Amino acid sequence: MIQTKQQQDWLQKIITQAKSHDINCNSILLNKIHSKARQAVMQYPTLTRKQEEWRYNHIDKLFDKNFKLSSGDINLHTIHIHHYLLPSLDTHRLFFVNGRYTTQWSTPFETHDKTNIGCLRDAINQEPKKMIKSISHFNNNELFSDLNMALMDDGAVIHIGDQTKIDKPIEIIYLNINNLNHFDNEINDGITTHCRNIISIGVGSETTIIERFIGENNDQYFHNNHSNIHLDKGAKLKHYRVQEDSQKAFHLSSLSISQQQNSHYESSFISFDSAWSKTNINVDFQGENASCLINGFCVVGNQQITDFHIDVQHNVPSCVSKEHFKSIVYGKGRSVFDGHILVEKQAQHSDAQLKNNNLMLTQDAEVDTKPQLEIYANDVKCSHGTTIGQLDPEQLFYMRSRGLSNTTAYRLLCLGFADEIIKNIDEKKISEHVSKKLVLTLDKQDFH
Amino acid sequence: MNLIQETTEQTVNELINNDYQYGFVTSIDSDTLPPGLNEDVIHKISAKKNEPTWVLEWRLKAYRRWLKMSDPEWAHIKYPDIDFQGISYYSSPGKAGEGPKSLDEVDPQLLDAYNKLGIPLEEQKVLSGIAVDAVFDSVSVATTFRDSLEKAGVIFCSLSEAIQKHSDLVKQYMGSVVPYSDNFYACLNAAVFTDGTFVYIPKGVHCPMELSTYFRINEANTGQFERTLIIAEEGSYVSYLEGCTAPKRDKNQLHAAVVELVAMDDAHIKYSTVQNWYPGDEQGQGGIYNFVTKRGACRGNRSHISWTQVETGSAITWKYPSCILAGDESIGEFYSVAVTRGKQQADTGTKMLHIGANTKSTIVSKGISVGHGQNTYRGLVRMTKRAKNARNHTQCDSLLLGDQCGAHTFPYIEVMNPSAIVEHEATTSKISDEQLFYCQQRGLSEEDAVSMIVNGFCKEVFKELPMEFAVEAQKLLSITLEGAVG
Repeated sequence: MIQTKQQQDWLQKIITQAKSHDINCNSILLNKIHSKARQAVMQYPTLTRKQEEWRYNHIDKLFDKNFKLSSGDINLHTIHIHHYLLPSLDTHRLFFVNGRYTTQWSTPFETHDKTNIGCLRDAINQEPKKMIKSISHFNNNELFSDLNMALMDDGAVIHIGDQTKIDKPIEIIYLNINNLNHFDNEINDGITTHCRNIISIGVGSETTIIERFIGENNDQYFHNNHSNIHLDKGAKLKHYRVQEDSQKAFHLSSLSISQQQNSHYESSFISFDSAWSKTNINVDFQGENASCLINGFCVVGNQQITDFHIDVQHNVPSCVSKEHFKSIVYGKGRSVFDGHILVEKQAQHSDAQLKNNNLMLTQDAEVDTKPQLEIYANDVKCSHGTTIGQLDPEQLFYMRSRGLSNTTAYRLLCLGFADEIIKNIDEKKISEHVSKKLVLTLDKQDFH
Repeated sequence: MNLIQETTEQTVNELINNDYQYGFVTSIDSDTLPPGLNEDVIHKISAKKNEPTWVLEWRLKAYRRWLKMSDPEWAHIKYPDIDFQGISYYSSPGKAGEGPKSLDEVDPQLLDAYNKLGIPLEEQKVLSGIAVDAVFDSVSVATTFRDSLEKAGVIFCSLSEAIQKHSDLVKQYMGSVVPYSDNFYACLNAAVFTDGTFVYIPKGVHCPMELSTYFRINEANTGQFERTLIIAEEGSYVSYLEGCTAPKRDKNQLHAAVVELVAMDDAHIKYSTVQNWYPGDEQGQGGIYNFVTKRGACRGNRSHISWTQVETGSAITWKYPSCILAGDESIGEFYSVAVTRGKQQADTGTKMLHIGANTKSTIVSKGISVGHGQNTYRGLVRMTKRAKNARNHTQCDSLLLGDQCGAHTFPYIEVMNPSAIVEHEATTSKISDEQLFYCQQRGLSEEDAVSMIVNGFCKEVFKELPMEFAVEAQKLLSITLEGAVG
């Protein structure tokens, strides 16, 4: 099997590089975690399109590339920081360049008592045992989660103590840039970076987290981001993720969210650009009366593939989950949505809703969607709905007859379509930014 | 007339042979082949049926392919491995197995069900596998129907007969919709199919009556590897009923049937199924495994295929009646009611492949889970690049009765054309206490109330069934739901 060999070689190459970086790592415990995950990575079966997970997404595209593991040595002087920050957005900022935390542009919260906002490296240095213990509890049952574990050496650590309200949103920026310090002649297709974020919100605490993924326009890289998020009893988290990677980027995100009693998780996943992107969201209800509200919106054009996999597990009674994802697809873009809701036998009085709407604008676009319900309890309210269609010719005609150009009419209708998701972003600066970005993206398109 | 005589003779012969069910040697003349599957067995089946070489070659090709395939595992069902070498692949038609001698020997539960369905005594005998007087058969309605069908030019006969008499037609169409290599069970069927139904409706003919396997029930017991082929030529219409509402016992546990439909320009095929095979006992022991491949090809422009199914029996149902909408403006429909109770499992749904322009498809699936039943809808809607202005609407509703059952929905939607419009919606609910209270308050018993609400839930599908079938299906549903509440 050529594929099997290709996958094994690809993984081996990256892991070999990681071993040479390890010399700088002085934590024996971390080394142990690394080597365990490195073994695990090699044990996974070959990923093929026959597996449900990869049915619509071409993993070959990723394995065809020859990525170099980022060493973390970056010359920060070459970076124009102001290109990347949103003006007048006041946040506690954690800034990662090529997967490594940079103090220079970060403005974290002053650590006190039980609250800690910082990076994984520091956290491991300060409290090695505690951090390693929590890391080794993570259950990776997917190749790229284990790969993340095998290679991680940094990420965001946000630990909010009980009954705490953070005054400002916490912003995490991941910037990936090629060729900063890579003067070697080795042939490669860009860097690969792996971040592991650990977020836990204490009993009754509230906070907002904004994550932004940024890349230089033509850089090619593979960013593998994994977050473990835990909401304790009555905790509330608002989570906004805006993905504005480069046009050639490969992006893979996995989020494992566990929720205790009465906790509330609310998020918006916005995705632009990137050649290949896959986001896995797993929600696991562990306490009754918890709720989650997950919205998503993506614009998929050119040769892009954007793939959202959502898996919500109702293990306990009386939880509420609502997912709503929308996509605008044009060019040769391909939008993939796979939503799965599982309601276990004991999870009576669950309320689960899954909605997916897709707008196809051009002939070569493709939408593949798979909204699934797996229900073992009888006293539940579960539904899912999917639509795929185009802009209504009557609406277009209405606008044209009032003197709007075709392009403007298209743009307005697309904005209207997206607004249902964007308006849910409470952080005004972010929603404005997303709308602006959407207008820019649509402007580049020629809708005859 | 010749045909009828032959049939009658055949039936009589079969009935005479019926006494020799047991202890046969394995000579080629024997009525039952010993368990096991190899090329030899296939040669023997083919020889017994006196088939032309092309059929034998086709069977062998399928068998060789089958050896390389493995049992599909993706379905949401659980069952122990099937020992394919433990099955006998040929037993002479008409030998329903260890049939009872008279109604007194039939399971009283079964008789009870017959009576509730209002099935006449003679028919009850037929259904429970009792050797029925040949006279009954020869004067039956079936014979009269055959006459008028012949006048209309409709060919309606067993597949074996068609292979002998209409070899060209069979050769042209068999395997053209479901190729022998299609899937594990279809491949097995292609290798060992014993009989089935063949229907050919000539150009412009509106078939004068509803065709039903029921009329052929005594003529040939088609066994576990049934193959049906229906061809509707330009501008023709046919409505075909498969199965019947009466519970049916069968000694074979594995059923792997294949159904192929071909609709030419402006042709309309309506295929209705009521399946009520033995679901096994309370522990789920011994029920029928129903692994069926059903597919219709709308080859012609404006052709129309509609599948309606009421599935209440079988321990496991694995079945996806599909439509390939190749012709422009062709229409595919799928209406389904699937009930699972006890330990029954159903993984059923449809595939709608839109290839032609302006094609339309409708999917209405109603799943009812009772007791420990597991009910899964699995469907695919694919709009290919060429399918301009294609349209699909899918609705999957599940009703859960009891807290041990499950209802699952796994729809796949693939759209490659921007002018296509696809809608999918699914809901899961139970009968609310308010609904029950309302009905009971007005004097209905709890059971009647549940039955009434469930019938309302399924109405959209029942109205697609031919008239008398619909009435029977409703009755069947209430019987199936008996004891589901309380």
